[in-house]
Amino acid sequence: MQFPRGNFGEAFGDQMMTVDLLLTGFRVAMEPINLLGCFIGVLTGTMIGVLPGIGPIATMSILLPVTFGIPPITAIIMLAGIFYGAMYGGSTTSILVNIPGEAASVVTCLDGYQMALQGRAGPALGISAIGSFIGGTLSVVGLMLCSQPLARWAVKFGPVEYTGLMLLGLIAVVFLVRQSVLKGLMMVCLGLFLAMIGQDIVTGRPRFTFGVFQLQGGIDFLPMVVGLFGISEVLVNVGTPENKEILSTKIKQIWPSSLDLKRSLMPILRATGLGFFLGFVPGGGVITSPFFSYALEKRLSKNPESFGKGAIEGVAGPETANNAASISGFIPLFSLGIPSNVVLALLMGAMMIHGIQPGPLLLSKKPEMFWGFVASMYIGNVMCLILNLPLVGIWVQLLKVPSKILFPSIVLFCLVGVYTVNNSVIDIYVMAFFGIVGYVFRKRDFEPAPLAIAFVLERLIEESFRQALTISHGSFKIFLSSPISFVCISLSMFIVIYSFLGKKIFKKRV
Amino acid sequence: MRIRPGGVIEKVSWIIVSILILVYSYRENLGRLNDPGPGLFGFIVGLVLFPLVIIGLRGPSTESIETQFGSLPSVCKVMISVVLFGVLLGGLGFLATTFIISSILFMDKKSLFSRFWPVAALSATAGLYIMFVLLLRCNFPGGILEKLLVIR
Repeated sequence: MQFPRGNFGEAFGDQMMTVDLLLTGFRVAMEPINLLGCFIGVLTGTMIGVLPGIGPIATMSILLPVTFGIPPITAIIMLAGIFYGAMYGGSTTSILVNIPGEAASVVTCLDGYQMALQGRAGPALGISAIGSFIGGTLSVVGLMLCSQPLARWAVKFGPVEYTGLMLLGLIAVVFLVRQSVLKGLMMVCLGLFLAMIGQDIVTGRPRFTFGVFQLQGGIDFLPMVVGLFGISEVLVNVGTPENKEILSTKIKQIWPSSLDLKRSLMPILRATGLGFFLGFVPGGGVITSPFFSYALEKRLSKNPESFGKGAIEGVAGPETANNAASISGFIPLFSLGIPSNVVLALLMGAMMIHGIQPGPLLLSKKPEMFWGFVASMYIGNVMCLILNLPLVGIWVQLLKVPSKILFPSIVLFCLVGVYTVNNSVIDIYVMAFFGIVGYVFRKRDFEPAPLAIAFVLERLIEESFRQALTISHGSFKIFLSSPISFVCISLSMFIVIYSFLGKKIFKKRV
Repeated sequence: MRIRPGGVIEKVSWIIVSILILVYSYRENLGRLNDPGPGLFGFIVGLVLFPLVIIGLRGPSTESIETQFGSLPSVCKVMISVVLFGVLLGGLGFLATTFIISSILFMDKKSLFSRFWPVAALSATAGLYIMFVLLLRCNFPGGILEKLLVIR
């Protein structure tokens, strides 16, 4: 189709092209197998969001082996569904049990549980589902509009720019996770080293194998993440006493009143913008955005003293923000090939196992995959709304599943799932090793998330770094010659210096 | 049960890891800056990690922090089950191994003489068989059951 030249013509042509591609995406997403994948994903996501003790990271890693038997696009749709479905489900536990089902739902406990105590659990659950739907859907629109221009720009990137960008991505992730930056950086280094075990990316020669033949193929991503997140999650939770007091009052009138809706409208819109922006930034956008949203609403409220005592704005804002952030996080993944959090790193790992390289070329080489994925998110958000509003009673019943059934089932699923990938018992031992390593790390306050992100990104970083050095004949100045790389490296250095010295300087001044 | 894992072990382990990375990277051939070898990137990672560990050493000692390993027997049970699954799978086959391991996992002191664990183990084995063998068509070792059936 030919469009008239000129700025308006090009912009109009772009928009028409986007609509056309979106329609193609809907055709892909509406295929029965993809619809089923989307449904299973959001159902599982909502389920694990409701259940405290198991999050989307563990679930995605546990379910990764299952995805090998299905087409790549279905697998990606399903795994993404788990992620944003969990954001919906997390609020149920926060409101009814006062235990966050997800780290992103911590803030919802403050006012959600208070509303439930006042007999307003229904409107609290209702507004969180409505807010999540609006935040999620508007964020998908943003994803659709931002990804293409960003990818077109990123196509021009060379190894120098990529090295800078990925360095910044890693440092920002470490800075924003909830632990010491020092420990985060140590985990990044360990993750990079573990990924180097196997074959050299240029010569193909075995390296860092310590004479062990089995290590020549490298450490498999899948048994490692299933061990680090799935098994270690069980080890941390197993044996700890259950302390769940589910509110026994009957949930009635899920749909919020017109006054509730009026009070929630602006917080939902503000949280959408805030969540969308923060999700875009590498790090804990999904976790930090609800906190920022809560603080913002409290500051803007005419009755800030009502916060913490059952203010509906305190539920609407944070729940919208985490959903918006969970979806905008896909923008850097699809347009730059950089995961902004560990869940997206797992998704990136899964895509790579399926032979798909996320990045700027994905949008031009496999547009049906990207647009199918975008369209599935619209459908998935509607599914989440349907699953969360009328079926909330079922999710409450799910909270009664005892851990003596839940955790053994997870272990069994991990065992069988990991074995099926290569039909190798070695993978089970690797999973066991990383399970115990992940458990010890968690007990010593070392988050495994930066390790996993570094493991996924190592190949790209090393490749870009070595290419850049070869191009520059060994001069490190090349990393400062490109404006993008210069800005990224400067920002990374600023973050590291600030995290080590900034707090001390600030304390002295205070 | 409360045990002191000791910050010293943690710190020494990190020092050993960082030194190992440096030494092995050096041995893997660093190459030259204009023609980087397979060990160069690893060496840089080691160079970054080592000072981080040293800074960590100078920080407040974690020796006084008592890490709670309250569920140590449960942790051991899970880990033994995981390793046992790998050991038994080749010989006993998928069905028998899954049933044995799920029995161990579902069994506890309270439900030792109840019907809970056999029913749960049987259901889990059947569920996994349906999902992985019938639906996803994955291959598992037949093991002893298959041999018995073939002989008969």
